[in-house]
Amino acid sequence: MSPALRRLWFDPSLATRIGVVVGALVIATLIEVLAGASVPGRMPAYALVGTFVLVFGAKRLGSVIQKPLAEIEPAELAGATEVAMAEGAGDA
Amino acid sequence: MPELHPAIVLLVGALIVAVVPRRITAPVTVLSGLAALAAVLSLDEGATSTYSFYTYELTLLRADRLSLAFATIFAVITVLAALYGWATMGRLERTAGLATAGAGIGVVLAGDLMTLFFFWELKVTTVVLIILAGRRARSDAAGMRYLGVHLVGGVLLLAGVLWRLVETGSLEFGQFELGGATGLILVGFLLSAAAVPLNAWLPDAYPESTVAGTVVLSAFTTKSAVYVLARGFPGLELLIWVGVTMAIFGVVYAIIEDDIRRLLSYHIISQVGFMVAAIGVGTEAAVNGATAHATAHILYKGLLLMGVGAVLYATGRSRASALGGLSRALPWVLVLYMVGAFSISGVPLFSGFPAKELAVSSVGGGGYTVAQWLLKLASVGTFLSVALKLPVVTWFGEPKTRGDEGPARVVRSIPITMYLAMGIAAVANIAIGVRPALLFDLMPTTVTFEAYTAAKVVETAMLLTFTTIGYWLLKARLVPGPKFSLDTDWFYRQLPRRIVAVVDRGGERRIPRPGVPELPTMPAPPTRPVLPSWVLGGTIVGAMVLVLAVSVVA
Repeated sequence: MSPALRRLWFDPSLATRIGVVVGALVIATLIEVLAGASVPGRMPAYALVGTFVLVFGAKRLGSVIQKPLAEIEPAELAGATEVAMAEGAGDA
Repeated sequence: MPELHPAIVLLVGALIVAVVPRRITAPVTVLSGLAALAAVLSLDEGATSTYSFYTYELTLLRADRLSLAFATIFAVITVLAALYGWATMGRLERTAGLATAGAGIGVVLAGDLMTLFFFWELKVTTVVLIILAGRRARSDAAGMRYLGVHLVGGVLLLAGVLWRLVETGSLEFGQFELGGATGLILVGFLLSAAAVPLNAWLPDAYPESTVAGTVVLSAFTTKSAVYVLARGFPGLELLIWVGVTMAIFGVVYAIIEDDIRRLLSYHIISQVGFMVAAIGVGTEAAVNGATAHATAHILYKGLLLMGVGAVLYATGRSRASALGGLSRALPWVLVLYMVGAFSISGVPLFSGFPAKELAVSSVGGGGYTVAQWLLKLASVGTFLSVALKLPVVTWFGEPKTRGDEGPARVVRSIPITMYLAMGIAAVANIAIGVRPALLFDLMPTTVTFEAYTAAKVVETAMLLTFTTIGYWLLKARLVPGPKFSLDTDWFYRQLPRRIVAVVDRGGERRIPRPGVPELPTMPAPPTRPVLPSWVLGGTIVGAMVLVLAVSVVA
């Protein structure tokens, strides 16, 4: 990955983020107009807003229902259980 | 000529695998699956097979287009799972896997409620054995919880069947009107479909089996439930909202999940939600949509679980917080996994696109626009967590460490048979995506739906593109930590312990009275089961076979 692309993906500035979102929305709406969509721009906006709703909603829920692994299953952190399971039952 | 029942083929295959020399169990398992597939394909539409049970004439086999669609895909995934587990499965898994497949096919071909109940409970028992094949304390515990939950479901189902028998004098399994007896049957079916809030057994149990065992589990339990719902309750409006709730619930949990197999388990709940919602609409197109989605789902979810199973097999890890950086070590697993991920996300030219479009469009076509848009929201969450979050945290970035073990790395190579099974599943997913008629021709009624219109392709492309942009903006929030999500299983896993702890503390707080001797302390309970799990499982299977044999003789 080139440094410019890497920066765009991993560390975009606020202006870059806004520019990409607005630009993509405009292009998407134009494409939907050409494709004869009933409400151009509706699906792009819905997907974007939906992503935010799902992520923030899930994180909010996670702050309530998620517990550190160590509280539930201390052995999990040691890794022994997963390795044993990955090895399968075999014909023991 | 009497029909050869595919379930019998698989159950006989299971018995053979249980006794033949160990070195030939793998080919016998695959051959049993192929024989069952041949038996399914040889069934003519309208074929039936009946038998007498006391004074009842029961239907062991009823082949119509709905049952044949499910039986066909069940046989296909049996072969693929057997191939995938060729080098890793033990005898117990192979036997239980074939028996589970046989029971699943028995369910979808059953023509009456008593035959259905027999295969239903046989499936529960054999699934427990597959979970126990994980051979860990956690697998034992999850298997016993699964058994407990599904025994409750089985009792509800049996109570409903008997109530209905008393009410109507009939054991026929057809479309039901919702009432007291059929209400119990419905709850039994919904529990097996992992409908919220009866869902917790699924993400609890599936990740605790072996890598191949989980592939078997993903195909049969919930999809058998989808079949019986499609057969018994099409058009029941309640199911639309049950399905939509499942679809959203599953993706929300998947977004925050750390364990990649548990993440995909939550997506089973979500995808089954699409099917349940379509069944709730109940039109011909909607039942076709549910069936098409179930068929495609078995293929792509099998492929996804094979992919993450291969990661677990190679690295010994299944938590995203302890993986990463595997793209160079496991590039083909990534490619094959992404075929499954694009399929489940409904990307055009992959199997999920025509199947999901048919299901979701039928919900909208039934006049349930809000439900349709909520299912599209679930599609956003599916693409976000399965096609973006999971592969990024598993295959890209820096390898993460776990405890003293150091960064994630491949510690053993993946058997060629695993790649072969994943390759066949990937080709099937692409073939259906490119040529939807391969799928639609199997459906219960003729499908006139056109998946590849410009409007549908553009709409899907927009949904996927803008979900990707949303992921790009929020990706830092989607990195999972080593956490465990509590689900509704909290009520039967933690609540009893809490109550016991409170009662215990009450005992400790007792103020000693002069002259009254202290009671001796109870010894700590054993941490391991009294009996090895295979003894318990074997006893259950043996008891069921004995009961059946006595019933038949009587």
